[in-house]
Amino acid sequence: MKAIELEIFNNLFSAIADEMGIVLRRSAFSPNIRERCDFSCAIFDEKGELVAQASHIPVHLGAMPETMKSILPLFEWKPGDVIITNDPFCGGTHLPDITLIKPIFFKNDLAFFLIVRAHHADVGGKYAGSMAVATHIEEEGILIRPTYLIKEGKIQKDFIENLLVKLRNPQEREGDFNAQIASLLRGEVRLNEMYKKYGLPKLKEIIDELKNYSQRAMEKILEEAPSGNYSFIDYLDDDGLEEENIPIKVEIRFKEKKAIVDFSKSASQVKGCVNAPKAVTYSAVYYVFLSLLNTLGEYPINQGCFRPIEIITKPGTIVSATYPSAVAAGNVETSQRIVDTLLGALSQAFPDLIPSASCGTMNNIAIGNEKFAYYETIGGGMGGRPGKEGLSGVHTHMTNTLNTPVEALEHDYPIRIERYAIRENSGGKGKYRGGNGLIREYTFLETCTVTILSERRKTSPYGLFGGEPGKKGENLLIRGENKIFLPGKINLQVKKGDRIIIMTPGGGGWGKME
Amino acid sequence: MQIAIDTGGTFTDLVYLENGFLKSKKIFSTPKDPSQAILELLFQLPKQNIKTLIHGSTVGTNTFLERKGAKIAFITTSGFEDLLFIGRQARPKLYDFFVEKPRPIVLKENCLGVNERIGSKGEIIKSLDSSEIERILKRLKENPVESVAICLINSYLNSYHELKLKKEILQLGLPISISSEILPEFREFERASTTAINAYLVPIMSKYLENLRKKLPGINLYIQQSNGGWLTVEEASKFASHTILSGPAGGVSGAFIWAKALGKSKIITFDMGGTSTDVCLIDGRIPFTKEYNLDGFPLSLPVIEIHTVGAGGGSIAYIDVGGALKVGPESAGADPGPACYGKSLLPTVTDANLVLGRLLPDAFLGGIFELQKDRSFEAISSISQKLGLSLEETALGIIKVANINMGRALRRVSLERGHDPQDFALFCFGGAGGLHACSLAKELEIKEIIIPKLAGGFSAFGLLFSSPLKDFSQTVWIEAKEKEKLLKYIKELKNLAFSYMKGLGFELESLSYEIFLDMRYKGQGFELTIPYSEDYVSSFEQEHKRQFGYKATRFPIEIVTLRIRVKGDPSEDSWKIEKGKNFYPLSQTKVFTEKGWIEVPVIDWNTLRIGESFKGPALIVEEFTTVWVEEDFKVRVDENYTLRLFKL
Repeated sequence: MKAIELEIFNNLFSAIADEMGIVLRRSAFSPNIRERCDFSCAIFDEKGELVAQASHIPVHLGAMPETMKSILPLFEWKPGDVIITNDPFCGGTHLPDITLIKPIFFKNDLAFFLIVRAHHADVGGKYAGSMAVATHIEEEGILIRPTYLIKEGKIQKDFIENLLVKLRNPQEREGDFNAQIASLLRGEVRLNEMYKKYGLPKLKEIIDELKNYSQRAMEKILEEAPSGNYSFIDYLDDDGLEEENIPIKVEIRFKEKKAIVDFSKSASQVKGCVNAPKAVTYSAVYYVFLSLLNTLGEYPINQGCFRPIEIITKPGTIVSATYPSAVAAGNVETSQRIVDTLLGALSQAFPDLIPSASCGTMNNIAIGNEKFAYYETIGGGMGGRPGKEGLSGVHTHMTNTLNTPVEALEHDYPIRIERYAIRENSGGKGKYRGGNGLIREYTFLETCTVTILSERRKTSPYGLFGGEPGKKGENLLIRGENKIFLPGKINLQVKKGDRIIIMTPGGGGWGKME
Repeated sequence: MQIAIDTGGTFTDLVYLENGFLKSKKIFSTPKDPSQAILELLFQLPKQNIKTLIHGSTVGTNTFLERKGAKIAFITTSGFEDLLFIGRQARPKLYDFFVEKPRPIVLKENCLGVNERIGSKGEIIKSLDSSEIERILKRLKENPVESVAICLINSYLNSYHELKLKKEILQLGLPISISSEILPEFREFERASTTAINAYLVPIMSKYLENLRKKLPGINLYIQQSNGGWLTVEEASKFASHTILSGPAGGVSGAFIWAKALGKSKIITFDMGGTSTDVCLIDGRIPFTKEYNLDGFPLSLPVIEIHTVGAGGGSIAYIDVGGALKVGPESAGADPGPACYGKSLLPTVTDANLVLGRLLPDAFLGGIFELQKDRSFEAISSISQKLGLSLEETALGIIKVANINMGRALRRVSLERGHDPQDFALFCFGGAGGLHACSLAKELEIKEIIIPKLAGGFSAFGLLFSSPLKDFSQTVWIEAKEKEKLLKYIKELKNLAFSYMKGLGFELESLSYEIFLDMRYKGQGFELTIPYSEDYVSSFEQEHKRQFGYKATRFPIEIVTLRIRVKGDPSEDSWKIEKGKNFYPLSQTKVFTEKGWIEVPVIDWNTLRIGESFKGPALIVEEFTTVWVEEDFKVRVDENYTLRLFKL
């Protein structure tokens, strides 16, 4: 009967996570959440292990098991509690991602945790959008250490008011918190219905089964790797302050049904904001292995998938940053490069399953002034794949946020979009071409501050097996008659009439052109 | 006489009234030329004066799914030529290195930019010069296309440039679809996609309809649309995108009408077919959505809100690498079909029902097509051996997994939208639904199931009684408290709508209208569609609370889009179902349940009398459907032989 129950309960749990996502998206206020789906919802068991998640943003989901692990021992959990945090050094990703956690009790037994993480449009800091080139976490925005938002059903009004005054658009933030809480409450209602129907012992038993089931599937794909060590090195352009590139090195060892992923030879953490908290690195590793698993079919994503994977990072390195390093771009940029190194290594073990490097950056742009804060990311080219060209003008790997409709953006903010087009011939040539990047051109109708956080402006997305690399990205400022090349990472002031053009990288080609 | 014909993937159905009784006929569809089956059906009719034919067709949907539409040009503001290729910049699947984007409907070289720009307040920033128009005309002459779509940025606020382009391009004698006429609402990709879908389908649809009309001289031909109403052939040819989903929409309208006759206004429709299942929640009115996705492309017109899942009688069961039992979404379809059809050994939901004794091999399609039970046994045993379970336990497992998928669709339209399923009756039509209705009802704690005795041809029934209907909309961006402005906009849109309908030849006295407001808290990204009333603000707040659990009292509320739906009178004829001919003898059979094999009576639906009631378990058989009444249900035979099943 196990085979039947696995499918039934997997469906029931993932439906709850999906529904939490629908409630959040449809009632949220940040364009990031409502238009771009930059959020994630998940269910954990009382041990803090992942039970189910809704497919939203890979960079969030892989990080949440780390969040849970860090936060679980910090509190004496009570019914009616909701904990809030955005602490990157306690299982978080970067400051704009604010996470709410609610323990779920059946009678007096702690049974589940529900988590909702969402990217808020602003969390204070020196620059609008809280995605600046900074050198210290406190400059990037408000650091919310794990604390009570609601304690035993009582909303912590003083805390909220203290927090909101430090943010640029407090009303919008409050609206988003409401939406996040609504999502948690919906999840609670549904879990309670399941409890009434099946009872806690049954649910616990089936959750263990579900984890074992996913573990078996993951082991199956790992078994197919020829045992041995596979290593790869790739580079971040720079940290936005110094010129040098930053190496990320991985070594993957396959042993029986396990994979050991070792990053300990990666660079030390840096002054600029490209440091990745450990949770982000875990996300990237999980993303890559879950995509590999997908070549076998669709399996429930839960803690079982992660059991056969051991991750080694050294604290104080670029892939396991410690306080007080700046991390805004670790989540959005470094995570992509970690994926590139992993794919480079895995392509040696699984040559028929691994694509060439995709654009390798989320091309972040944050715009604002005293009246508004807006943030968006721009897609690029996908790497060529064994048997298929890469897709053009699309978000790849660690993100999948939607674009904001130009008409919505122009209606809401003093910005005009002049061009949004595929960047022709930017994909690397090869037997299977890399996809093309995008061009997005902004005209500013008021004085604003702008932050650009982008990568692959100095190094190209690599090709595999003889495929050529994709074209690097470019950022331009047009001021009157002047055309100024901007660096990959910059904070700047723009005046009315200035234009910025972002050209995003293409993907690498796969295989030699015939 | 008025008749309705619904062309489906497998069957073409005809429904009409004769002396107040509903009659239906069913033959196999002729996909190469759908009009063949239609003529054949008309030929079978007793010689009568057919005045009106309401027709639902899959021509639009199939043309799109097979990407056999017209060669189109897509004209937009320069800088946005790639709009249809970039879409929302997201990939359809997250953890998949080999993911694909939807197949395009326009060649990249036929996406043309024009130098012009409308601003975000509708002001003209850059005017459209005649030299630009000349350039486009020249280009279209050199590289001819069959149809043109135009969608300029911010044209939903000012259609001046789109209209100017349309006027000039009309010289070329091409059909033109412009976004400010098709969908004057914000969000450029959704508007462009809807406009392009329309342009892509117009030449094929108009050719099909013209051909059909020629073959049906003297008959008024009307075409069913996805909003549940019909319009003239001219309208359907011009707005071909409105005909997508017309069959399922007919089914939902039919359920609405049938339930109303029983005094029920709250139902969840459940239409289980061979490859998929459609569900729709009706809470006093038929719901519509503006977020329909047609094979990867948004179609943002008001479409009856039907949720579809890939689970049906033909869904194939298998065991995956991790050892879980899966059912679907792959389907054996009609060909080769389930193992019991005799052409394959694919273990499907239908085979599982056969193994469990819930489907009788000699009662299928009125007994003209005997199912091969031994093949079902063979197919299911391939799975039961791997699982180490008995044949019956395996078959029961397949049913449970299929039910969980369908149950998820029912939850999505009810619980997730803040509706309690207990307040609704499950309205079950379509061939396979009757076998699953009881356990789905229990899963969602639904207390009542309604099954009409017209399983063959329910969509056509809906068409026969639907009304002419046309939707008008306009994005207005005003605050909810600006009531005077709102009333002004309502008046304008209403005048536009009525003069349009007058142009189509409708008598204004025969038309009624409804007003809807798409509202949200300022700053949100999704609107709730609220029927207009004096206190539309509190209606919005209540609906927000019902769906999302809270009101945001401190936020201003805005009205984004105004909608007017204009409706004509539906057919007022009364209808009755005739008692059918007996075809299956009263007998006993064995059915496998959680409790093991139990004895169950087999009852021919045609022998039931109105007013009669009895307790389950029972198998009720009819030519096109079988109903499995579980033992904790009571059956009451209501008006028109409708089965009403009540949970005990």
